[in-house]
Amino acid sequence: MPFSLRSRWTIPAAGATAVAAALVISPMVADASPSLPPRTAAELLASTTAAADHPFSGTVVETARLGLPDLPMSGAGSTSLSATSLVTGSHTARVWYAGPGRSRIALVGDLAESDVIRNGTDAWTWSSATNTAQHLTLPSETAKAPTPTIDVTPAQAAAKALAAIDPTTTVTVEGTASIAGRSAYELVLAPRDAGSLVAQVRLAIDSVTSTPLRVEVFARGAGKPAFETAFTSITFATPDPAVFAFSPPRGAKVTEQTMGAAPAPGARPDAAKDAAQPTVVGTGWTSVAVIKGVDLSAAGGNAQLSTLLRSAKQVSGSYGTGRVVTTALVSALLLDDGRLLVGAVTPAVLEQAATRAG
Amino acid sequence: MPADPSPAIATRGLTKRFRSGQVAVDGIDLMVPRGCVYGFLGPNGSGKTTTIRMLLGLVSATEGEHELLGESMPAHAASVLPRVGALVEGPAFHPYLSGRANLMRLDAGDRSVAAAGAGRRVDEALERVGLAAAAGKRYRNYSLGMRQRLGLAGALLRPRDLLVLDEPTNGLDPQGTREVRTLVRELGAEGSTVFLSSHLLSEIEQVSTHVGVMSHGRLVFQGTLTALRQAAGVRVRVETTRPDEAAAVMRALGTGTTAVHATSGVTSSVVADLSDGDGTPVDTAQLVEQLVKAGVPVHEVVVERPDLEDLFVELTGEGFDVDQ
Amino acid sequence: MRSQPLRLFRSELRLVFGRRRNQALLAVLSTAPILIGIAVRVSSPGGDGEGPAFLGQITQNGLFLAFTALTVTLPFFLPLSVAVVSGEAIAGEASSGTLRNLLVVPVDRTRLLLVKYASIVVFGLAAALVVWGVGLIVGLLLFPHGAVTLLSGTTVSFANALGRALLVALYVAAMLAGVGAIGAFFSTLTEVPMGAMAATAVLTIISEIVGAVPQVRVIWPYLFTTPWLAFGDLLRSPVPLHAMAIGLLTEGVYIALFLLLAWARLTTKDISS
Repeated sequence: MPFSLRSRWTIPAAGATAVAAALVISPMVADASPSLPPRTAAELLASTTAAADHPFSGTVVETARLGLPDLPMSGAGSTSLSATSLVTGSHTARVWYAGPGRSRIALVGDLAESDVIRNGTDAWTWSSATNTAQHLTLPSETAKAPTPTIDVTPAQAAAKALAAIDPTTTVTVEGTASIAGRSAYELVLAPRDAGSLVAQVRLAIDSVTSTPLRVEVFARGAGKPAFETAFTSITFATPDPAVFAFSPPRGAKVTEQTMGAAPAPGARPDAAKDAAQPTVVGTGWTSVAVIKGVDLSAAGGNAQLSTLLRSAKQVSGSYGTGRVVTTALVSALLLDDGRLLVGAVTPAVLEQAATRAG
Repeated sequence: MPADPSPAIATRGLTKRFRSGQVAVDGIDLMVPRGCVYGFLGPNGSGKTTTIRMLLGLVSATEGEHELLGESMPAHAASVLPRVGALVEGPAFHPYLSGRANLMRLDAGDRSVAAAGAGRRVDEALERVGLAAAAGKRYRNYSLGMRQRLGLAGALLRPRDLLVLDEPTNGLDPQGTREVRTLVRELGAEGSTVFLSSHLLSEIEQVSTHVGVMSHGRLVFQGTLTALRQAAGVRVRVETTRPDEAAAVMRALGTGTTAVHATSGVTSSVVADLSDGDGTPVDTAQLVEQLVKAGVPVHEVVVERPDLEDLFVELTGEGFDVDQ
Repeated sequence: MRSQPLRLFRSELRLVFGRRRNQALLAVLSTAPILIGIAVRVSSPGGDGEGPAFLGQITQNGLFLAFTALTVTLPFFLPLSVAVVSGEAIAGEASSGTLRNLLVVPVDRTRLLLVKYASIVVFGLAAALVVWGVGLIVGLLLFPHGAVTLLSGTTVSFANALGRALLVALYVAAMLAGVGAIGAFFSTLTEVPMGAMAATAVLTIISEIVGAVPQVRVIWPYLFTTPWLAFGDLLRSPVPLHAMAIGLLTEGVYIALFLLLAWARLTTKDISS
């Protein structure tokens, strides 16, 4: 009798063990590398650039580990969904794509959502938190052209990474991966220049549709990607057209904008801030953006920025004096003369650029 | 009395050792025949309540086994316990429910009865313990005596083959105590077996047919009330000036332990058990006759029946102290 | 005899809902939508995205008061009220001594646990529905109603939104069932109901705090409080089911494990009170 009573505890223990085993084993099964016929990097690149436009819908999770200070999230519903918030933490977006000119990205937050919808010549942005919508009417000839949106889908991120391929980069195919239940090749891009903070960029490319399913950016000496965006689920089927139909809800603040065939930059409302438009020094992986006239004295209100600035290191050289901030993937040099240099490079490269751009 | 051969309660080596190492109940062999009123006697802390909790399956036995109404427990609790009414360690009810609502809740838990008769069963039980007038009152507002009565009503929700009543007269006034005593006798007369625990000998003595005495977790006596009285041993004391001759005569008649005590004055006392254990008791009339025939001067002959209270103290070994 | 298995359950429900303390808990919960509704009504219109989610939308559509009230009460007041009722479940009967009465009736210990847990789940559902229902009534009395704008900017009919709101309340009730299972387990460990209630509430709050500290992000998916706010997905178009399915699975695992623990504890426990 005492045994049979004590043995009852083995039942919850067995249950807990089963749950733990499921938690350990299921990612192992999911991560198992599928076996695929070998491909060279060239074949893979070719198939990617020549890939037919596959309509799809899916969910993308973007994670950034840039080494920026993490701050506790505040209460429900206050999660910021601005594009700048993408540099920290983990974010989820739902993506629908029916072809060029018909797409929708929904950045999903707790009890909030920000959408970018492109439907032919209509482009909408919508923010549930502020209850505002922006309507942009595009010229008809651009109706089929892809929308410039936030670089959050693997397709967009991959396009940028592939554009960067030049003699500064080694390109290899390294094994396979299973992403969102699909088999993919892993294409690895590694900068040759030691001045780059980027160790490698890994693209997982769907073995059937050649759609990039995951992009990982590894910083030097880091085991985990500093930036990662990947599909957690994807379906290759044309989404319901209703997804792209957007009409602003009653009571929302709507701003209308019509975009001409060649919009004059001077027409932009922020033309007065022209001085802040960046110039780019250098090429490829070691490009450095130089922004003039930066004044961070008003940054005190931003907890993250002020924490970051407190960690800054004083530097000086022939370019003058300033403060340098390094994160896993990005370095920034803020000179006392108001110049800000930013790049995915070592601080030394920034200092050289500062001297040259002087 | 039903002819069912199986005892109402039977335990073999029932033992409870707490995790602290304390042995609350130490290998007891209870044997409660059907139809009797069994007085379970022992000082506070002697293991009575722990035994009752084990009998009812509230506390698991460390060792040993037991049966209620011929079925092994706790395996057959579901089929046996509906036939057992119990009041364990005083009444306990939800304070913010009425007495009636509390009993309705207990009735709702019993899967062996039909829902339809619930109101009638509860009202009858309340009637039987004299609580019908206070049925709608919240338990919180009951006096101690009313609470005890409600506890009894819970045990009497339906006809029971066995009633296990733990200190049922606790907190009752003399009037209430008498009523409970009458109730127990009635239940016994109706054919139910009543297992009644108490630390008061007087209470057990008045209603019981059988007695078990607990001390320090052990069952130190078990048997009928008559057997207990006999165990107490009737003794005879003879006052005489020739004690040695008297003692010889008494031994010759077959008395038990016989001893001579010198007393002050001219006579001495010869004290002897009237029975030597197994044999039939010696007849006092015959004893006096033989003494006289032997020429022993008899100054005084006294037959001593020791109080059960004294025996109880002798068995359990203490007065007011609580067992540890 | 037909309704036999439900008799104890009904008795249990009467005990839970008949208890003044529990009625007071529901009354306190119902004040949340009333206070929010009045505050929004008397203050100047126009939300600027500050404050709890949906607050700005209430002035345009009273239905959002129900969502806001659920959002505001979900982190603390709803789980607290379930912690009180679940912590009471077994420990309350043990402390008043009524547990021994029930067990000698006899009520099988496994059956008692299931009946107790079922009544906790019903109380959680009632609590969610009270917040939802009072929010709906106050919202419709104080504010206009009509078609509803979802988080995705899509507009749906009032009936459609009402259906979604009901599903939100049901999802919230399912999340509270997880708290209830934890409370039921703690309730088998002690004879002091306050202890079980406090332990349950504290564990919930700790889980929520851990769920807000990004440095321990890796354990977020395993917390029972993480999926609570996924009910917001019911207000998107099309409705993504994945996060809510994960949420239900998470609570399901917590419920199964804690009920098994509670069962192992209760069925081997010596009832010495």
